[in-house]
Amino acid sequence: MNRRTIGLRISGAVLGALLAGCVHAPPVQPQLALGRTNCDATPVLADAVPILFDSKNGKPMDAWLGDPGRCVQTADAVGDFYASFALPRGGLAYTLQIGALPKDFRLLAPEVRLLNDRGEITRSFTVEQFLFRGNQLSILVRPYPEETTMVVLSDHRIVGQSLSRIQEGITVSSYNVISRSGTHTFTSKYGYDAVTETTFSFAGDLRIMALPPA
Amino acid sequence: MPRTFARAAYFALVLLLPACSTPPHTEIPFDRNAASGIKTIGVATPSFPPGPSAVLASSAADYSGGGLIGGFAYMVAAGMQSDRETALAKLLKDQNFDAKAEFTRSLAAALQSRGYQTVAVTPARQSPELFVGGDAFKDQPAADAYLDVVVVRYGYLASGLGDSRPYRPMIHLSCRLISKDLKAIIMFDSVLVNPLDTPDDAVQIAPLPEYTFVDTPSLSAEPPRTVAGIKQAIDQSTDTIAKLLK
Repeated sequence: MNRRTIGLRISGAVLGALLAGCVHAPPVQPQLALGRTNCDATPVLADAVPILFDSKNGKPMDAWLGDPGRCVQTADAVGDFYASFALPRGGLAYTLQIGALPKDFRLLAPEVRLLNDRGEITRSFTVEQFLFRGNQLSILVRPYPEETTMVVLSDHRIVGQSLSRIQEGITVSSYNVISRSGTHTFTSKYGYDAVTETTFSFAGDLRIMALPPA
Repeated sequence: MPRTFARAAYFALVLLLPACSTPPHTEIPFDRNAASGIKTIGVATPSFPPGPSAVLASSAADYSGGGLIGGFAYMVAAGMQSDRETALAKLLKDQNFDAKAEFTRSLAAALQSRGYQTVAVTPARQSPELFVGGDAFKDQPAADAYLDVVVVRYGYLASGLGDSRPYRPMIHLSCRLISKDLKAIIMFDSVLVNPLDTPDDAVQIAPLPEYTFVDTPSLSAEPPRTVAGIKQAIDQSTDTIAKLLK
C-alpha cells in the first residue's frame, strides 16, 4: 500500500465520517403492533419502580414503555406494554403528573391505573382525560392514601389514531455589535407557526412527576 | 418586552393571585369521586379584559437593542398594536359581538353538556383581573360549588409576519372551583387556546385550522368570519374547563 493509497483511504474515512455527521436519522415512527406473545396475565407489581417525592420541588422521572419491558394480556388478546410504579408513602399530600412525551411521529397511547395494596384497581384514566401541558399529553391526579401503586399502560384501543396540532412560538437569538462607543447587544425574535403530526403508539416515552401541593 | 405574550399573561396572572384569598401556586386537579355531590355549579360572571388583543408576536420591536433606535422601534410597534386592537374592537362592536356574554353562554352550555346544572352568580370582584374572594359568594344563590374564571386575553395572535404565520384566534384564562362551604379550592388550572411557547404547567389547546388570516386587513375584510374564529376559541376554552371538571 503506497502513501497515495493510504492518503485516499484516510480521506475517504474522513469524508465518510463527515457525511455521517450530515445525514439526519430518520424520524421516529410509532409502533403500531405490540410484537410480543409472552405477556403477563396481570401486571406484575412486585418490582414497581418507586416514585420519589421532594416536598419542595417536583423532579421529573422519565421512563420508557416498550421493548424490552413488560407487557400484559388484554381481554381482546391484543396486549399492552406496561410499567409499574410505587407511589410515595407516609401520608404525603402531592399531585402526580403523568405525561406521554412525543418523539417525532411517535406518541405513547397512555392509560393510567391506580391500585391499592391488595392490587385492586381503584381508579383508571384514559386518553379522553389527558390534556397537553407544554409538550406532554398528561393528566394530573391526587392519589388517595390507600392508593399505593400506579400502572401505566399503552392503550391498544387508540394505537394508530393520529393527532395533528398547530403550534405557534418564538425563537429568540441575540448578538453583539462592537462599535467605537462599546458593545451593543441586539435581540431578534422569529415567530414560527407549525403543524405537528403524531400517532398513538404502543411504545413511547413517559414522564412522571410528584408535585408538592398548592 | 416579555419573552412571549402567553407567558407574560400567564405569569402575570399567577403573580397577581397572592392578592386573592388562599392563592394556589400549583394546579389542583378536580377529583370527581370526592366531589360526587356536586350537581349544581354557581358560575361567577367571568373577569374579562376591556377589549380584544391583536398580537403580532415578532415585529420591529423585537429587533431592538435599546438606545434611541430600539426605543423608537418599540414605540412604533406598540402604536401599531394599539391600532390593530382598536380596529378589532370596532369590528366586534359593529358585529354586535360581546365576547364576555358569549363566553358566559358557552361555559354554561359546556358544563351542562357534562351533566352539571348551572346557576349564574354575580359576586363582587375586588379587582377586575383577580379571582373573586371566597366570602363574596356568601350572599349568592345556593350551589354545590362555585366556578370563577379570569380571562387574561382574547382575540387574535400571529407569531410573525407573512402567509406562513397567520393570525389565529386565541384566548388565555385561569379558572378555579370553590367548595360549597367556600373554604377550599377544589380545582385550579390555566387554559391557553393558541398560546406561544406554553409553560409546562398550563393546559395548551391548539387552534383549529379553519380560521386563519394572513394580516389584519384580512381580519377587517371578513367581519363575520373574524367573529366566528373568536367564538370557536371561546368554545374550545369552555369545553376544556368542563373537561377539567369531568
